[in-house]
Amino acid sequence: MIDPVRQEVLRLLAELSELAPEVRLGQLLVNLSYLARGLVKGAVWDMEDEELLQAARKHLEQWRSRRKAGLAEPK
Amino acid sequence: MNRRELPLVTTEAVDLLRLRDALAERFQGEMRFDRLGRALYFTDASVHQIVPLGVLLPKTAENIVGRSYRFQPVVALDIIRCMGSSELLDVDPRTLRLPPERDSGADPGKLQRQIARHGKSVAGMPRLIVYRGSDGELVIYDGVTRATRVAKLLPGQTVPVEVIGDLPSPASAYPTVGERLP
Repeated sequence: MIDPVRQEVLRLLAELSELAPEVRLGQLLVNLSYLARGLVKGAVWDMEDEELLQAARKHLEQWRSRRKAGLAEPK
Repeated sequence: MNRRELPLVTTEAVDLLRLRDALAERFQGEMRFDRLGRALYFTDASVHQIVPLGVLLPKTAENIVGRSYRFQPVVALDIIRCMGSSELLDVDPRTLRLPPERDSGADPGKLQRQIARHGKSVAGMPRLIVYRGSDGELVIYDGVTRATRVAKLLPGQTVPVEVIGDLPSPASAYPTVGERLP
C-alpha cells in the first residue's frame, strides 16, 4: 500500500505535470527539492516525502497563479 | 525623458491629494504618482493613450477582490504583480545563476542542437523561468540551454525572464551562466 503522503505527492506531481508540461519530471523534482531544502546539491536525495509534499503544494499555487495571470505560454 | 506635454486625464473633477489620502488608508501596495511611473502606463497595450493620474500596484489579489475602483481610468491598476509571485524582468542571461545540479553549465549536446536549430534567433523564444534566492540573485529554474545560447552568441542581449518564486536560501555561491560559457 502506498503511504497517503506519497499518494498525495504523486497526485500533485500529476497536476503540476499538466500545468507545466515543458518541465521535465526530473527537473521538476530537483526544483521542488530546492524549494523544500534550499539551493544545495543533494537536496533531492535528502528531501523527506513530507517536505516534498509541502513544496509541491506551494509550487502548484505558483503555477496556478501564473496561469491566472496569463503568463503561461503555449507549448 | 522627453518633457513634452503628455495627454492627461483632466484633473478638474479630481482632488488628487484627497484621492491619494483615501487610497493610502485602505490600499496595500505600491502607489505611483510620479511622472515616470505614470508615463509607463501611457498605453499599456491598450488604445487609450492617456496618462493616468496615478498607478496602483496591489500587493495581493485580496487587495482588489471585492473592491470597486470606480476611478479608472484616472488611476491605472496593475494586477499582474499580485496574481501570485510571478514577476517579469529583462536580464542579461550571463548574470543568471546556474542551479546546483547544472552548475557545470549547459549540456554541450543540447546546446549544439539548439544552436543548429535556432542560431542567433531569439524570436519566439519562451521566457526563462527563474527563482529568486534569499540574497536577490536569480537562479535558473528552466532554460539553462537557452540562456547559454543567447549569452554565447549574442553578448549583451537581454532576455525576458519570469521570477516564479522565492527560494529559502542564497544563490550567489553558484556560478553564473557567464562564468560557465563554453
